[in-house]
Amino acid sequence: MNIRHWLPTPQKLSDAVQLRASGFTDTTMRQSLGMVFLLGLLAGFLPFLVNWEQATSVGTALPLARLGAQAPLLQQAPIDFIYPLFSPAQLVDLFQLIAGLPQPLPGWLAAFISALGEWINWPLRWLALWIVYGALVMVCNSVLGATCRLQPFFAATGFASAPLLLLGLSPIPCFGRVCSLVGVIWAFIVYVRANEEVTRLPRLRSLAAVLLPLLFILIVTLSAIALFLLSVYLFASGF
Amino acid sequence: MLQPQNYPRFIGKALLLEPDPFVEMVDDDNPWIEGLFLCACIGVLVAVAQLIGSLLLTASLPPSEALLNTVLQTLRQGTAGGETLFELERTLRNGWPLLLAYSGYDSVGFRLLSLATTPLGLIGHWFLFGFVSHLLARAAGGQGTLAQTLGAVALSTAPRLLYLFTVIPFVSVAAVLVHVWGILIAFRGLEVAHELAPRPAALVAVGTYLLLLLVSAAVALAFGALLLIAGGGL
Repeated sequence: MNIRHWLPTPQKLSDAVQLRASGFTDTTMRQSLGMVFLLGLLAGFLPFLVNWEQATSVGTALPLARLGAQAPLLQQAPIDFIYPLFSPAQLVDLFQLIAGLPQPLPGWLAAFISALGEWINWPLRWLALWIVYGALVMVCNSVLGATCRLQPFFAATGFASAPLLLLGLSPIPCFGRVCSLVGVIWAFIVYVRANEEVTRLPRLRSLAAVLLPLLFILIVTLSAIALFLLSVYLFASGF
Repeated sequence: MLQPQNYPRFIGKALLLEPDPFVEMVDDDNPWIEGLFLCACIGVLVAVAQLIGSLLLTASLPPSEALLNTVLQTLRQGTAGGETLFELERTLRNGWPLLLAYSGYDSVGFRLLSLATTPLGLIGHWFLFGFVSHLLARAAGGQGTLAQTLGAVALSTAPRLLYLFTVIPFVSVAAVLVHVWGILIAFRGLEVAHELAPRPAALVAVGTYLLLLLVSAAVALAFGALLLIAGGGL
């Protein structure tokens, strides 16, 4: 297994993030797949260390450690609907009790395994974004008159994961949030440029093809939330 | 003749939407047997990974009974009382096993059962998808046989191998990723098996998926209605 088959050259990566046309050509989908996965792993490394430390300090699995840590914040949270069942103080006690329950594995191991699982979720989420969003953009491209194939499209758009590396700095207070925002905006610009380059669509059409799936996702999400709220309301009111 | 030694190569190339594995599948002497065996292999691998993941998850978290008791105890000390408390406890106790089975937490028995149900479910899904997409592809002017379609479409189960990551607890693979990637692979498979142009092949792949989704939703609704009518006595 040659690493050159699984990753683009650093020059290509550099060209792509600087929005040069040469960055988006002569790359295979295999190289883009490798790049998305590797960059996802790299971005998740710092959060992994932070998560591991947080869970190890409590001696439990990460979700329970988070539950315990966030419990005091609940008193300020707008969750009035739960107060007929618990008082805020009882809820805080409950979360801290759950976080303190012993588990069969040693605390450090449970902490490591759970933080590792969270880390692996990073590249998996990036893969999901790359493939699912890409499929929707390809539909829009096709409707807007582009004739490009799937493989070159995915090969080019994979480069949008490079600026997302900045998301890995998210655990740093304040600076991390700014970096994450910059990373997302930069990735979006690289994505639009890659789409424009690979489909040969005019800039505005390329932009529309990338934006339309966002609109679609927004509508689907809002409809799902509305449907959920409606069903909850119907059940609560006895149908 | 079965060629399992080629499956890793087929799967790798199918995930990258390359045409070679579909051509080899279509040209095989028994494409549907290859497809059946491939689906069974993927199903067994995924089920084993989920079983190990479930064991590790159970070992990483407190015993489920202790967790439930803690919640119930707090609930009893809470402000709810009488009928409301009784209903809440009942709902929680009824829903708890479902929650455990779904998450794989403290449900090793259920996961052992899924060693059989996962491959069978995958084979069922593959066969239905293959059959319906074959009918639609023929209607769209495709030339392939049912056996060739089943062989080519079997590779669309390849993204399910991502579930192997669930061997590590707390890893979650987005179902939408598995399904969309599967549709993209099925599209390439139908293009090759039926010698269809990209647009009809895409319509057949998406159409088949939507049709099956619609039928599943209708069946789920009918089952739910039946449960309601029977008053939960089924």
